[in-house]
Amino acid sequence: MEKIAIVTDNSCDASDAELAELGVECVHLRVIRPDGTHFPEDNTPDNIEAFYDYVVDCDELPSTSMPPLLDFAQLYTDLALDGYTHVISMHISSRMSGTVHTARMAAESAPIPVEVIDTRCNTVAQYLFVRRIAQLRAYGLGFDELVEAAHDLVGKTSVCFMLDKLRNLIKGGRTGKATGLAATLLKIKPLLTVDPEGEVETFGKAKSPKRAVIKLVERYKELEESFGPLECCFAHTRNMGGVDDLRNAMIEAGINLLEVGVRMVGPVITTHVSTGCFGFAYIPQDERVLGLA
Amino acid sequence: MNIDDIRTCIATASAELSARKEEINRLNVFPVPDGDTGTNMSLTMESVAREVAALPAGADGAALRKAVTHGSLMGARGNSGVITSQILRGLCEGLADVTDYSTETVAHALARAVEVAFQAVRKPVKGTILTVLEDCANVAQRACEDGLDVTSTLHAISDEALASVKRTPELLPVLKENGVVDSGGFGLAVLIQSFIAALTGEQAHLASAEDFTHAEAKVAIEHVRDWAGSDYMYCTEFLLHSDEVDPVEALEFLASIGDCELLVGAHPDFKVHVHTDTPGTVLTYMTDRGQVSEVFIHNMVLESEERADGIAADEAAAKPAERKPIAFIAVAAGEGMANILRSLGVDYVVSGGQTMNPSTKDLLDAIDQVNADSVILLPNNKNIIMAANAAADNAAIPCRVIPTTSVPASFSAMLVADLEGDLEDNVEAMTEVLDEVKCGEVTTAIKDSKTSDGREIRPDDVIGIADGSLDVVGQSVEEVTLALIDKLNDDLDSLTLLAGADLSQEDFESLVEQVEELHPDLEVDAQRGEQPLYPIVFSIE
Repeated sequence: MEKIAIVTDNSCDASDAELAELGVECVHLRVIRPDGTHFPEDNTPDNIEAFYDYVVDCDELPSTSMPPLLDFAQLYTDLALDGYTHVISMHISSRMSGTVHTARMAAESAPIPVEVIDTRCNTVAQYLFVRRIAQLRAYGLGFDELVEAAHDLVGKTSVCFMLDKLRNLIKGGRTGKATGLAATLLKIKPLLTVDPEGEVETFGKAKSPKRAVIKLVERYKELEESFGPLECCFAHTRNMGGVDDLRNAMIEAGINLLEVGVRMVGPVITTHVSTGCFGFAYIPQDERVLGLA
Repeated sequence: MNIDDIRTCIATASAELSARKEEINRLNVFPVPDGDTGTNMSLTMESVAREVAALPAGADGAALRKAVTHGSLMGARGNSGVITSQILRGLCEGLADVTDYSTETVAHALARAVEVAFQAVRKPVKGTILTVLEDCANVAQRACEDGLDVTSTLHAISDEALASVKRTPELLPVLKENGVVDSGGFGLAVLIQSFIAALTGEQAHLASAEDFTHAEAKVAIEHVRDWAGSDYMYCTEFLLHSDEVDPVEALEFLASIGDCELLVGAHPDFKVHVHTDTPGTVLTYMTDRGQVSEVFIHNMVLESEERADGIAADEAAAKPAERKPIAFIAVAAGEGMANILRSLGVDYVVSGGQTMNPSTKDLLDAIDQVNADSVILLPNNKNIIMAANAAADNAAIPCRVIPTTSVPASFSAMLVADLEGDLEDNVEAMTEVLDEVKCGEVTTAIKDSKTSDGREIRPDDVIGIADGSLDVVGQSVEEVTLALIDKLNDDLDSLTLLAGADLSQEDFESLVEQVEELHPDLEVDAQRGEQPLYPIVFSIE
């Protein structure tokens, strides 16, 4: 009888308690202040708010380090000891972090089979990804079917959001394919996404948040044309107003919104995008688990 | 050798100089890096050639000398042109009463040229055209002493002209810093070599400027703006017809209000040249003493900048850049506007706008420059759209025009452009967004007119143009801008304001503050466009 464990990391921006509710284990990337001290690793709303306070005008950006190999090795071993027969370990895009690589090294010497999945996404999209696999496990899929479902989701789930402040992105040098933004002299609100390869990419530029909303709605419609009906989860870094405007505009545009909720983006990503961002994460709907919490 | 042969040689030398004027212009860093030495010297020589050509057949030596002296004085342009005219005058004086051309006469003529040319310049500098002339004269003198024949002497002079040019960077540090040789000296060498080659019927090795310039050092040209000799802004030159002017006193006057002063010729015809900040004072002084004609005043600071820009652009173009699938070319006046366009991904900005529409050829040249498989043109003015369409039709590569009528409209178009995308997809997306952008322009009326609804406009009124229609008239830039925004703001959300070159930063900031107060819902982006004539240009969408 298979007993399948699901593992992710805290760049999915859900709190440890939320993940535990889904039956998902979490390893932690570290977010480190310039003085060497660590931010709390659990994405509770209070911890995230405190991080926003810090990052909005810090002189020097915090740095991120991937979870140590030992964390993975310990977790996989513990899961085996707990009677799990298989592990699906799903992590932040390998284009953004070495976490996937570390997980794979630990998987090689794990006492049970561990399938490491490079989700090619991050933050709230990674949450939707992991949540979906947990739902499918509850639906009754076996290990091989879950692995297949996970591979199938890669490239189909991502985030699209408006960047309010370019400062941190440029400061951190993490512009990826959005490098051209650093040169722009006009005040603009870049629209960013994570492409199917797992890299940050600009898909548009808007002159105002209002324009950004229009473009985000257009983008959502295009994505539904490509992937069929989507589940949507709004995401922001302290910009609920932006989320409300976006939701209203989507409804006005006649989109049948299947909303998972509104989530705050956590420290790993916010370090680079700062506060004021808003947008959505999406994942194609799956009839098998439609309407499941 | 007869007079007709010499006339031919003069024509040949003049033609050679004209053909190479750009090469010479590019070397020009001293005394002012305005890049016009070659042009000035060739204009001077062309005037000589014209006057010589106009002589009747069989004219004698005296007539020829007079034509050369007069033609060069009348046509002299710039420092180098005036000095050239004095060299020619000296040569002619040295050759007066000469019937046979010997080594001695050549040496004598050159020695006289040195005398006359040095007289014209109050503060001769080593490593310039004067040094090249002096070195040539010295070689001729040595040839006399060594008993060389005329042909050998001429060859020695020709070789020395080039050798002397090569030494100029050692004598004049500013040349070395810029990796160039002296432009006037090089011009003279071209003149001497081509004249002697024509005279002896042998093709001399004509050096090219590239032989002794160092391409990698050319970019340092900007440094030269600090050069002490370029403190003044206007190169002022004209012909003075005066029986009473005292050349010594006049030169002292010129030296008191400027530098690079030259006053050459003889009563009653003089050529005056000076670099000064007050050309009006110079003209007043001279018109008190005689008649002034052929006045040229040019702004050397601007020319110097244009030259540096030109060189930088040429060098950028010379680099074998990777060929792009698509390039964007926009027309704009004002460095601020050009910089914003470049920051948005425009590959090439053609200078131009309302008052100076680039030609189809200018746009075709830009298309050639960008090294791309396809091009999108943003004319940014309704008067330029036709030229852009013509350029697109005649371009060797697929080229499409987005009919932008203002620079800010092209900002919006560039914001939706896919810099690595397909030509037609881009045309569609960029054209579509133009419907959403409205544009306002504020400027000053220069003649009586009427607004679109019939109100009177007087010269010096401030006028506001809303999407091409003259709708607002008022007394201040602020008033008209605010009225224009009110007129165009139909529940819109973003405003890009561009300050023109004539609007102070203080006035601009105060205007922006008022706009933000009156329109709290507008996202205001205030930028310096530095466009001429329009204190404010804005787009609202």
